[in-house]
Amino acid sequence: MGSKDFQGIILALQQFWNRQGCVLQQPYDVEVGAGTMAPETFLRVLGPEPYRVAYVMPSRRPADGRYGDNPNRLYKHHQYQVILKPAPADVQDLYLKSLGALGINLADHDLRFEEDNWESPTLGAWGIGWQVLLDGLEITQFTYFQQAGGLDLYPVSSEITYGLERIGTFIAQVNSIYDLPWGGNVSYREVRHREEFEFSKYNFEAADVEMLFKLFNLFEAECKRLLKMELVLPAYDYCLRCSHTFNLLDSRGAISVTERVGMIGRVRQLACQVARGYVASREMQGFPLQGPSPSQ
Amino acid sequence: MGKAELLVELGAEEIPASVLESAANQFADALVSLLGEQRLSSGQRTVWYTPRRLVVGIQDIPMRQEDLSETITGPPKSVAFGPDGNPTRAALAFAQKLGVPLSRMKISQTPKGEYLTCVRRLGGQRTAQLLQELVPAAIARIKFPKTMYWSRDRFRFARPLRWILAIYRNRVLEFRIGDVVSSRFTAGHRFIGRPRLTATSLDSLREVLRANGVLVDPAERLKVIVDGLSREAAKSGGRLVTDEELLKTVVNLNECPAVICGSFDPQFLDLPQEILITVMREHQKYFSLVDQEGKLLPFFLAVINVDTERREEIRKGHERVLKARLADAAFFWRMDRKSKLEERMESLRNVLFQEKLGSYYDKTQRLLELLPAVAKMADSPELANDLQAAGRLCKCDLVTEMVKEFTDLQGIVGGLYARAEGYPESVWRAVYEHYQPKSTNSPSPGTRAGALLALTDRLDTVCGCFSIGLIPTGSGDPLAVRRQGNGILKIILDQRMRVSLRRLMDLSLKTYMTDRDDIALELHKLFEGRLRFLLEEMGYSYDCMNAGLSAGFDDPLDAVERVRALQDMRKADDFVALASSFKRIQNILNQAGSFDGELNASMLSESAERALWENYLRILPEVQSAVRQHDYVRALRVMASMRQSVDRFFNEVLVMAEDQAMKRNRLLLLRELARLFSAVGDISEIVREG
Repeated sequence: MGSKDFQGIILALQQFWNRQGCVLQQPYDVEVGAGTMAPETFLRVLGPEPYRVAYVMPSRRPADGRYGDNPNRLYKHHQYQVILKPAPADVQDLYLKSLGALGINLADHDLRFEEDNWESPTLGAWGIGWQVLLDGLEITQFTYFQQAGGLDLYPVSSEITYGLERIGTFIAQVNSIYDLPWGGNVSYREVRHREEFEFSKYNFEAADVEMLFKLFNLFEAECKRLLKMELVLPAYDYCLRCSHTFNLLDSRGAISVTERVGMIGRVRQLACQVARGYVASREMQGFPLQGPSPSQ
Repeated sequence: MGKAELLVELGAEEIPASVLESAANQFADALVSLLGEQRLSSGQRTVWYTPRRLVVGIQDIPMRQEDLSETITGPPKSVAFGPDGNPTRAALAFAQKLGVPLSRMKISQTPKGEYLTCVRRLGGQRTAQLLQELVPAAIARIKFPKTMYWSRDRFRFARPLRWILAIYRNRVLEFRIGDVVSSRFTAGHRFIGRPRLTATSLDSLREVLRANGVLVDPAERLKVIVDGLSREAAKSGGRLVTDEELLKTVVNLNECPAVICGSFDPQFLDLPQEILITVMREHQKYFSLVDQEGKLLPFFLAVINVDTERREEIRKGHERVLKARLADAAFFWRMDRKSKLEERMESLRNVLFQEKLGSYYDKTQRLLELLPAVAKMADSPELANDLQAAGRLCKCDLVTEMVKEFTDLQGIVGGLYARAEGYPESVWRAVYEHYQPKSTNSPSPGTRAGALLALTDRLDTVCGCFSIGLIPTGSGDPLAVRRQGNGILKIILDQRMRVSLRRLMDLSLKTYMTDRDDIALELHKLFEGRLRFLLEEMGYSYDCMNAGLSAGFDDPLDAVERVRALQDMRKADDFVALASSFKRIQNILNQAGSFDGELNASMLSESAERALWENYLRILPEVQSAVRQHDYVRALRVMASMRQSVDRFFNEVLVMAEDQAMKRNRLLLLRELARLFSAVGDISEIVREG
């Protein structure tokens, strides 16, 4: 099998990871820079409960926008995110099989795992892993989480983040993301090009800096208020909103050196508090997914 | 006794290329040293590695430990036996503790007297048994710069261990590490080999892996790659741009290397060559080709990790990726030049240098303050204007798109943009070179202006960090201050600059509004450590370093010249003899306590002391003039000529004479000598070889 268009890739991955016993989640409805930030990753990797989940995550990176002019860069790209907790011993093999399910015959390609350790200062998180290069093209980020929200993680989760546009251009052998067939006889350009242009314009030129600074403060205050009420999940939404607002301000060039360090620190502080609150809340609930014979 | 081969293969998920070789060697070292601790000798060792495995083979390990007998001393005879000759409770308790009957013990004469002793024999254990503990212990000794855990026991390694093949005498050594149990199984190449294979010896392992797409010996992979590179280079009529570091990296990134040649659109050749090569090298790990004149050709050589006939598609894939990268670079090159480099200085306010030390704008201001003074100190005041221009430009490329994308090109990009804007060569080259040397083995700036800018930039970083207490400790050195210190010294030495470190530091610390002595002291320690490190890398021995540096190193070039002279002279008999006499002189002076006054030549009564004094007066001006000319070998040689008169003095003259005035006069003579002999260094540090 293996479909040459964008949605065919998503379908094939959904089917593959469905067979591996993953919860197939839907994209989270708050703006994030990466699939890692969605609660289904950031929160689920905390604490002792096992979990397997896969989902598409549209990821917004305001500073990466190119007004739709660059064939390889996007303000918003799509990640396919897989979390396996605990990481099974054959997780690399599973990943390689998933590439097979996309119709890629690895015996005829140059595939490599090259060192690339992931770190997110805003989430107080880091992990050890690789970028996966297929004929020189980075198609996946593969990480073993070691810490999130400032907490040591055990069991260790493996995170597989497919860059769907990259894989799409590889399979379709096209030189521009916009030439990628999306499905239904429509191209990526027809679906998304105008969006890239308008959002680039917004991110770089139009975003109201003063309003964004205000929002950042409001979101932060709301997050703290909710944390005090032990409403961890809504609090995390506001932490994410802070992070995205920060990214917008950054792409507007509105953040000075000193502010930058300070603001990243503020978001991290929220993320760390949410992480602790989430673990406490799951513990109160008796770690429901841990199963009948709790293992350490 | 029979001997046998030990074979261990640690199978892991892809270990970073940069740590592979060191990890494999550490593992072999740890095994050999642990065997040694167990009185087991080891023969030839083999160290192989690929991204997925570390392999160590050790030949000729005896199958059994040698027996050991040890003598244990118990209570003294007088305590062990009563006056009646019967054993006391103390003797019985000793026997019980060792589990040896008293009848098999004896009274032995020891330096402390007669004691009850027991000789206990420890039978050698079977090596196979011992190895089941030694191998896991050796694995735990492998250190990586960054480690992770993945299994319940939180064992740490660079990446998860997935299998361990451990064989001695054709049998599996049984142990467990983390979630991995040792076995006789290995694995072939991920895509063109079988996942489960058996091997019971080093040779069989190599062959079964070869048959399954893995060249386990890095030397073999190197050969395949080198041959492939020259074959493909010849085919396209170009010459390979040699790159040892990249070569090493690709050897360590592949299990089954093959070389392919791809091409790119010649229109990209309009970009500066440095940028093209960096894009290919840093991001894609490609080798570049040049023509006979050294001009870049529109080709690249990629090392791929699979042996397949169907290389067309792979080549096309690599070409597509490179095209996108080069298109980015071309875009940045075009866009960046829309504004002048110097106009970017304001934007440097938004680029953090260090939280407490401000932005790169602040750093630039400090550099501009320092540069004229540094130029003057380095005896190059004529460069002051060029350095001002270069100083203003040097950090501006940090806010170009090109450097944001290709951070390794910082400095180089600024230099290229400055060249394109028509700055004179001494200016743009200074900017271009000011991050050199990248390491102690790579070249420092080729121009004087580049060297001074590079020196000043590092000086500012080092002094700034120290002024806010960011002093490197053990492994903590976030801003790589030690490396910056190495850079400063290397530039000074390569440029043969005669400068005072102290004055350079004072200059820089002033821009941080601080002149605290404790900071200067810490900086002094840093530079001493760095200078020792560099001298060690250059191959100087410790005693010469100690001797030379004890006379100071404020002028590092002078210090190195002195150490070099000491090293040259340390084989000369006369010199070594003089060094030990010097030690004797120092001891006498130390024991004599304080004394002062002027030497009275007329009081020198014995002929040996008169001869020594005359000799001293004769060579004094010679040594002084040699020292002034930094000709320290000559200075030492002249000193060494004193050997006989010093020896004779000690043979014939009693320094600590009863006559106090005479004694004091002789001590004063020795003090003069000691001063003279210390002109190059504290030669008492010199160790006699052999």
